[in-house]
Amino acid sequence: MASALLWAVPLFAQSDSTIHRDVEAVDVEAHTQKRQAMPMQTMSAVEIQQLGVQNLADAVRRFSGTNVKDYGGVGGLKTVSVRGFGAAHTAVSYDGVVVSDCQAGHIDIGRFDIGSIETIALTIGQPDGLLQSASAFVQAAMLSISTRKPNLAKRQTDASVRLKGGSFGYFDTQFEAARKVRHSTLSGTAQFMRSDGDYRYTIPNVDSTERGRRDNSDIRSARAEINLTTSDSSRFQNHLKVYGFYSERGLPGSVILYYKQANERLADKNFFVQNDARLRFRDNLMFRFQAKYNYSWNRYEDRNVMYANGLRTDLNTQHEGYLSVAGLWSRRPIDVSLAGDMIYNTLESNMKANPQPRRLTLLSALNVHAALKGFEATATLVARHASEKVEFGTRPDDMKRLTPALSLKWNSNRATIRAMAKETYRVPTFNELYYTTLGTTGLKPEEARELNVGLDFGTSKFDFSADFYANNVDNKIVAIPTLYVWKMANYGKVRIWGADVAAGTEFNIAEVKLKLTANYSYQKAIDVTDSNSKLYKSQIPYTPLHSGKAAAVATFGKYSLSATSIVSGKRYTSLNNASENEIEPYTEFSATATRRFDIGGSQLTASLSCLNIADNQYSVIKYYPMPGRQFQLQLNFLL
Amino acid sequence: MKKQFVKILSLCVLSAATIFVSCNKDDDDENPEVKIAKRVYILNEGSMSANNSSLDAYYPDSVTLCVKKVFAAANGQGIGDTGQDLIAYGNRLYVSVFGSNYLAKLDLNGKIVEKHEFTADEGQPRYLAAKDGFIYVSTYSDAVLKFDTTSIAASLGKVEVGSNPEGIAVAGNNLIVCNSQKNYVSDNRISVIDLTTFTLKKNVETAYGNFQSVAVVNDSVYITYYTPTYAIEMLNFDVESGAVKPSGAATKMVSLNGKLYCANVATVYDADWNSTTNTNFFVRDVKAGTDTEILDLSKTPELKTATVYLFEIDPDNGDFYVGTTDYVTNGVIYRFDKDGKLIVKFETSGVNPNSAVFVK
Repeated sequence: MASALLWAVPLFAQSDSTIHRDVEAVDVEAHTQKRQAMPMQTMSAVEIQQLGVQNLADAVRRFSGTNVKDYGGVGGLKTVSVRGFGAAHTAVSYDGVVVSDCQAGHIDIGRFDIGSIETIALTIGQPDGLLQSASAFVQAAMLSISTRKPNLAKRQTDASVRLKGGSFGYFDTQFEAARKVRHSTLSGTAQFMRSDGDYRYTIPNVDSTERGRRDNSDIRSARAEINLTTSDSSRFQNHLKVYGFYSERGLPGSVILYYKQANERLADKNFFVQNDARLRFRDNLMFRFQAKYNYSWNRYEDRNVMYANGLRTDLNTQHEGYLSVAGLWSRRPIDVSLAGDMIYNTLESNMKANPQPRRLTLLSALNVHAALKGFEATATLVARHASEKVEFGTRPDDMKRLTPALSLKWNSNRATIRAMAKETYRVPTFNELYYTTLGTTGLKPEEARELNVGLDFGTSKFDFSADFYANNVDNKIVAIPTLYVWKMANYGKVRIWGADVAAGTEFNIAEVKLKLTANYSYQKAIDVTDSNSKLYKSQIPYTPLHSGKAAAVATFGKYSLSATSIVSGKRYTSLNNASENEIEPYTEFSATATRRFDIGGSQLTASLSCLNIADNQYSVIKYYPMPGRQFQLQLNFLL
Repeated sequence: MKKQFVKILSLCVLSAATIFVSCNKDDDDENPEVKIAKRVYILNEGSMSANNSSLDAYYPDSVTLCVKKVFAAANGQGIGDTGQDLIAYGNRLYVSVFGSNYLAKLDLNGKIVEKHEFTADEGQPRYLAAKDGFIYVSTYSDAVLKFDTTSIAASLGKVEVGSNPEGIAVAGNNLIVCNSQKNYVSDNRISVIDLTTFTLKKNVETAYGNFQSVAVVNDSVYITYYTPTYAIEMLNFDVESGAVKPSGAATKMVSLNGKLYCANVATVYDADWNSTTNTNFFVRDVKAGTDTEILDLSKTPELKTATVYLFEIDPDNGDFYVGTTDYVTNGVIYRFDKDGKLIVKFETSGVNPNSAVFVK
């Protein structure tokens, strides 16, 4: 994490604090990031290891206000919903550049490797910094992933090896090496992961219990990255990344009583190259340029005699070209930023009647920020123009939208009070528009509005935050059943109220440093589509009214010990909030012991985790059981 | 504690059921003469991948008594996923369960007497028909399988038909088979199986495709199919000549006493994707070829815009049973007398009630 600071600070240490913060905001160490105008939660690499966090979804579900839909196992789909919005409202950025999937809309965060992460930050609304791409301001929430930067402060080369192994045939290994090349750092990462994922589960079935094993849950994946970071003068920084990913997995599907056949397979390829450059002209003028080319491919296969030749194969290829220019001009007490993005997306698919859509999106975002004594205000205006082309069939109308956001913040020595209002929306995905028989080209964007007021209070030993929010969703995009056929439609209104409260404390008992954190979320998310419906004002599916998390970490010298728990209240699988659609509340306890060894100049960290200690049988999504008790051993060797 | 309560509750339900079947234990094969209270069994399909299919027993003589989840009470476990079709034959019930992939023979308490789990090659089961001591099952392996009612453990063989067959019905010595589609390619053939030899008689090419259900009224065969825009329309099929001609629209058909009773659910969307469902009921005089609206049913305010998922007629007294769904909450059954007067309305134990069979 020190290297991350190094990466940003020397350049701008003397300059305006807003600019300073803007540079930091994107990639930098989490703890300095509290006290934002919009609620933000972070987790660092150290916490990830100490808490025995399994994967990115496991990290995000420890944040308050989040709802991670986890289909179970290493290869199961994992998406993040925030504060009652669908997962497609959460933007995900990887080392500063927004990741997209125009076909599905949501991002499977299970694919990002937790071991490479330096910090994860989840912001409701948008990140505080002004010098960002327009894409960063569009969505209702943003999950920012920053990967580990090599530590070359004292030497020319850096290398690390990580080995992880655990229950159900889980094995993960990663090599990283970095080297200074004049003013640049060149680093490479290679990772391989496999898991059988064939854990046992039990599911109640009237008076009996179904016992089974998650067959066809195996996964293999490989990832390689090359990073080149440059800061060869005090006025220029650049981060070039080349990324390649491949995975092949079985999809065990939902548990179907009495029927064990599972033949679905999914293969994924993803390649991208992205560049993120920052330039400072004068003390008060900065620019940022981003460019990305993304290729993603997947192949879904299912074997069943109901398909022609017993096989169904869906092939999808997406290309994305992305360009972004952002400028920030500061003159106390005013900062103004303007960003413009151009995004081109295509989908090629072998699905019947897929019109091979191409979408051109132009986005611009204007931010005005004013700071006076402890008081800060930011106003944002985002404009979008999207236009689509199809090979045949109906072309959706061009989309034009202008959406505002406003945030206010007051800082004192120990406290921050904040307020935020934001209007946002998500565009229909290619699947929603074009999927065979299901898709509807006349769809309008799904609109979301968010309001938040909150406060942070902290001393060196104690911190506390509370946020209260009211959201609504209009023109919700849902699948509507007609007799036998489902169709996508803008149908649905949701009202959401909630509170996220978090507290933490740190103190010493003799030589032992103790850190306790806990958070609690209340979320009332009700459907208000049709006041004549018998489901009017029912809680929306998969949204617990109450949930909470707690963690305790004890550190003494080279040892640390942690205990964590996640608690979720009951949820319903359907808007019909009847007992037969209820999913039982659950609690998960985990514990991790970590020890550091110093071997010459090198360092070895070993962690042993026991996850879901009580072996609770639970599921997040009904009939997608989560693993019971499991063990994991992790060795990190830093050369 | 909670479990115990559920157990006691299900015991109560069970004993309530046995009052009506007290002289009809598991051995009703040996005592086929035993009198039982008249019952209407209702199969709730449930929702996809939700393992929530269920079976209810309604006692029409009591007017209001509907014993819910009789399968679960009798077997200590649920039906599983997607109860597709239910028939009553020879004092037994036969249920095909598409998602959970089996055919079960049940006694009149809903207890499994025998079960056939379909192999990967046999494909998942869809619809059922019975004749002369045999059960026929359409399966998603482009085939119709034949079972002997004395034991359904193994199939007696299969006849290859068209793509993923759906509805089947006996017409004289023939079985008419609705072929649907495969990988979104509609099959335009109607298959006819000779039941004497259990071989394919012919595949009749038509100008239509994606057939769904079939009803037989004396010599007339009516078949519904999906149009390319997924509306449901009806055809009249001449088995001998293979000729088909358009014959209006219906989403549910019941054949009784030389007449075809139909329910038709038509859903249209406006520019804002608000849907309007128009549901009507009519009876067709097959000989005259004329349709007469069953006005009292069509005019029932709640049914006017409801999605009718179940439409059956009690052959004894002509009572109509109309089951509606909203795909989310439990189904509702409306029972009318033969003149269209509403007798009672009750909720079933599950989503999407799709079949009702009459046993006395």
